Amino acid sequence: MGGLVRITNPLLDVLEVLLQAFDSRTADLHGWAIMKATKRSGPTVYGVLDRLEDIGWISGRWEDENPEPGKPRRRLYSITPTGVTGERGILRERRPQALRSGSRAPGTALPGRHHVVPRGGVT
Amino acid sequence: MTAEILLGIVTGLLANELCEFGPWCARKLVRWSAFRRYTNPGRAEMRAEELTALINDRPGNLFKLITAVCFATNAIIVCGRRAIAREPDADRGVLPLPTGPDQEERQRLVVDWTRCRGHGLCAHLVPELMHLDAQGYPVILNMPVPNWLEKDAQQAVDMCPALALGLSHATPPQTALR
Repeated sequence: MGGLVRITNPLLDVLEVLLQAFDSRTADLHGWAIMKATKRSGPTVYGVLDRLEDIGWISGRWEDENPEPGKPRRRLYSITPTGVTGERGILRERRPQALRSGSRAPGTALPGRHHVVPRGGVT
Repeated sequence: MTAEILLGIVTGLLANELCEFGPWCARKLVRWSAFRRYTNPGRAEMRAEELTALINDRPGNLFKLITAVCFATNAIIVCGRRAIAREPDADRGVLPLPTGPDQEERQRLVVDWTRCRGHGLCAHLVPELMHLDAQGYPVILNMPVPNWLEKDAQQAVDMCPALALGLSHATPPQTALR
C-alpha cells in the first residue's frame, strides 16, 4: 500500500481531516488545526504527518507570514495529487462512513470505532 | 496607601512575568524535543520552528506547557528506542569467540584401539567431539579440540576406564578417524 507500513486510527483521522479540507477547498491546515480536528495529541499527529510526508502523500509548505503580526510562521499541510487516490482508497476500505458523510467531524468516534478498525492494519 | 498600590503593581507585573514563563518554557521544550526526536538535521530544524509556532497557536498557558511535555516525552521514548535498536547492531555478527592457538597447534583426541573396550564414557563427556558407532565404539570427529572444550576433552582422557583415550598434537592418520 504505497509504503504505508501500518494503518492506524490516528492515521485515518488525519487523512479524514486533510481530505475534507482538500474536498471543500478550504485553506491548508497547520499542525494545531489538525490536532484540534482529530483530537489527537501532538506527537501522534506529527508521527502520522512524518509518515505521510515520507511517502509523498502530503506536502508541507511554510506560510508567508502569520496573519497575526509578530507571531512565528506556521507550516501548512495539503494532500498531493499523488496521495489523493491512495488516501481515498484507504478511507473507502476502512471508513466508508467518512467519505459518505463529509460533515462528520473526524475524531468524534463512531460507535465501536476501535472494533471496526483493527490495529496493525493492512501492510 | 501608596505602598498598597505599589505592591499591587509589582504583584501584577510579577504574575504577568510568571505567566510568560510557562509559554517560554514550552517553546524551549518543543525545540529541544524536535532535535532529540529527529535524526535528520534538516527535518529537526524544520520541526523545531514548526512546533514553536504550534505552541503559539495552542491556547492556554498551562495547555501550552502540557503539549510541550507530551512532545518531550515522545522524543525521549523515540530516542531511547533508537538507542536500544542501535546497541545490538554494533555487535552483530561478532560473537565473542575465545581466541586460542592456531588450528595446527591445537590438540586432537586419539583412541588407542588396542585398549578401547567401548565403554562409551568419552562420547558422553564430549559429545561435541565424538559419538558412538553402532557397536558402541567411539567415532572421533575430524577436528582439533577447540580451546573451550579443552577441559572437557582432558576430563574424558582422564576418565577413560581403559586408558585408551589421549590428546595428541600430531595429525592422526585418516584411517583412525573412520
